[in-house]
Amino acid sequence: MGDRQACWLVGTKGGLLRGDLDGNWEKVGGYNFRVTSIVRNAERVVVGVGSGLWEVDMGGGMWKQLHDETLTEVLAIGAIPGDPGIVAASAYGIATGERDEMGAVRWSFWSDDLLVNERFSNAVLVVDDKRWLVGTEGGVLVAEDGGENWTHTSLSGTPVRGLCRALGSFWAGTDERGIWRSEDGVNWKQAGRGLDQGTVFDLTESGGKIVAGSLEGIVVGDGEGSWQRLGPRMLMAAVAADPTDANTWLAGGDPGGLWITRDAGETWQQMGVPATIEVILVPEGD
Amino acid sequence: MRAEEYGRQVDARSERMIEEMAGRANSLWSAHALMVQGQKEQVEQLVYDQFGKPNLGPFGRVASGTFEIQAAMLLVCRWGDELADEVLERVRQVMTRGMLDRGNTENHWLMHYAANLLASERWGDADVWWNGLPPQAMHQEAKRWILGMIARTALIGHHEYDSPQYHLCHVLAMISLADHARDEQVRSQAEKVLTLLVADMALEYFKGSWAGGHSREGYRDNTRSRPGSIPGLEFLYFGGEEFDPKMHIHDMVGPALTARYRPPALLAEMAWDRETVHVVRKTKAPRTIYRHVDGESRAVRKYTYMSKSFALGSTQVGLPGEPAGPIDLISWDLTWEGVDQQAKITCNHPYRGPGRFSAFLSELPQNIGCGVPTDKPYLQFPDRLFGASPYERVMQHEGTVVALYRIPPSDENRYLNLFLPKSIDWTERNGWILGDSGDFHVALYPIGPYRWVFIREENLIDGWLLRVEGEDVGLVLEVVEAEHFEDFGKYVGERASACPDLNDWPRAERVSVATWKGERLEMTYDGEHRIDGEAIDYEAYPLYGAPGVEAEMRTGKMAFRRGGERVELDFGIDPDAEMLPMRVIG
Repeated sequence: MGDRQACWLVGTKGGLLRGDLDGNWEKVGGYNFRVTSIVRNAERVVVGVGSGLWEVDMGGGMWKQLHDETLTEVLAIGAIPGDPGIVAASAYGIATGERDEMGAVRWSFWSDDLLVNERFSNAVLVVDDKRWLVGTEGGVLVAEDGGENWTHTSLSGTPVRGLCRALGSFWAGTDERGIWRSEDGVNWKQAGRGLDQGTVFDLTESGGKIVAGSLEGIVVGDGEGSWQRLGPRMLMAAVAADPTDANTWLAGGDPGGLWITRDAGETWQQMGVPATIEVILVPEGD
Repeated sequence: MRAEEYGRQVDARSERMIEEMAGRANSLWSAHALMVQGQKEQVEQLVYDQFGKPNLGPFGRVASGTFEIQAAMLLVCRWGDELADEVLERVRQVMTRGMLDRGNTENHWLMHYAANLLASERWGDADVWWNGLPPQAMHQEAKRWILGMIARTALIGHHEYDSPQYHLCHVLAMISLADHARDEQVRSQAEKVLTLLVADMALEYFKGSWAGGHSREGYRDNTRSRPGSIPGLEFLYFGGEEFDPKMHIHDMVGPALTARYRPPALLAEMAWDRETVHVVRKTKAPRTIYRHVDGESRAVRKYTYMSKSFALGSTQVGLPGEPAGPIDLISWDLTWEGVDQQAKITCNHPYRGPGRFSAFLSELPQNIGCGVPTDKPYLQFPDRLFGASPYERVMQHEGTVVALYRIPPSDENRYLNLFLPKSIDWTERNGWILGDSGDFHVALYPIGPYRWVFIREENLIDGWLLRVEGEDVGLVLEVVEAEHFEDFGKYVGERASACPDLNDWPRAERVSVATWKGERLEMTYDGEHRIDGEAIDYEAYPLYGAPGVEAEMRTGKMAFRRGGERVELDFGIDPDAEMLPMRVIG
């Protein structure tokens, strides 16, 4: 589990966990923050937390603060070029940062002119360096030109809590309006059948299907036919699929702990992590 | 009163409080009393016992909260020269190697940044701060937030305003900066804002209680005579009554007792001035509501009528609509001098709608309604008397309040809770409920059917709870000094002969009532509030408005005047400069 890239990472209400599919889980450092979001690359691990943004020392040492006095309630993050190289989605809007002369990051907010519900950002998906899809309490908005300009989309009037890019499309999970799909991020249509009033918090792709965490557990489908509900019936706030095995998925209850299936949702087993799960990140590389 | 004389009085009260506090000191706050009495070893033991204990487990680092680090830094800054090196080292370790969390309320952030600013000045030679940055970076961040918070307070009003529970945290944090910050700008601005914070206390001080609306009061606090942690500080700064350890000794007031900072004397005189009946107007910062609504919260406007024997205060809360309902907010109350739980009247719609918590907390709306009340079940109690309702509208003119509620059928609590103390023998006549306190008369006209219920919780509340039931309900309350009537019977006769005009309620959403003086209050639920036909202009409220007080909005300048004395504040703020965003709740 020592390798930064090789382990699974799980953000919980009480800190960051790392582990493997055999059920070996440990806390990273003693920090008790509510970890809502994770970005990892070869150089570092960054977590968004209830009270800000941190660069994690995976060796258990001191984390490095990336927020300032304006950035807090971070709910999602995405990697962009530069330093600190993060676009942060928070209850107060979308923000990007720059280092000052002391190495501290100062944040600029790009959502201030939006409506209150449109500022509150639950999810961010980096389309390219300067274009981000943002799931807000008011729907999906597109931040253009690094947040300088905003485009409203056809998916509006409902909270959007999860976004992903898979199978050549963009996908969005909404409150009480199921899963939506878009080719360009601007024009959206409800996807699949049988989930019209469903609430979806997180989405991923595995084996050519969309796997989503919903208020009623896991749902699976291809966005055309019916959505199939699987597994324990609880609020699944996070879901992730093993990149090396299309049948192995992890799902996180809020509350409800961490669950695993190794047969594409036929059977589920708890993983001994009885926490409130906020986010799950799959291993990268070998 | 001359400053020297006032200083002597404060010192004398401080000495009495220290003597009492030292005998029961058991925290880093009350440790200041022990230091005065030369019991340094006890203080050092308190630090070892209560601060900086490493976590169990593999990482061995110390997690500490905002209250703890503020208390520790106040102790180190005030008494550091006398404390053992090991004690100072323990605090230094936490501040440079700990795991700190700045919390999510304004008092949390203020204590976090005040403690970090002071620590980074003291231990600026540390190679790295607890957050992995240079100590100078922490100092700059803390300075920006503290000066920004002070500027906002001076321009548009305090955010966590007038809280009997948390105001003390603000005062202590600012004392720590005014007394000990090495940064001259921080020290100077902190001292100025301290005067504003004490002025906030003084202007609505009514014989030991803090009258009117509050951003945050604790569970069952708003029916108490001396709510929250503030009575000790009020006694220290305002005096005016016999020392009572039960009322005036609160652990957290310890650092104020030995501080250099003392407020201007005229604020104490204002606090006790009952000679002139007057109105206090205040403007406070908008509430933080960050989702489930499209519109912004508006400024909070407070109106408090300070009479000889009572104070009546209410708030235009400026909320943007359902489901915005800050959980600790108190919008109005009637206060007078009396025994605990027997000298307040207030009412509340115990709003519980979905979205109430998630409108200002970022956890998932789908389960936050289970999560928050698990720790604080009283936030959902049906007989609750605190917490804002999005369906409440209030207007006030002098001693008369009209409170109207339009509760939708979907709301599970379609009623009001109206608290009446048992200390008054109540009379019912012609729809009015009338009482004689001796010094003043009070009349209430519930709008809607009601029933009397007894409410009692040991040491917390003891009185009548009138449950006013229905979707379109309300209350008219009038308070009048007894001296204006020959006797209570005369008042009952006159008041009961003139009922509020409810002909337009709820159809046109309008209620009107004539006061005992003949003035007519006319209130439209989501419309204008008129007095004798003239609409109240809440937008014209100053930052502070009261006799002897001049403080316009967005100027950063204010003056307090009394007799020949005058205190002027100029925060030197460019009102056109962009304000710090206030990203805290409460």
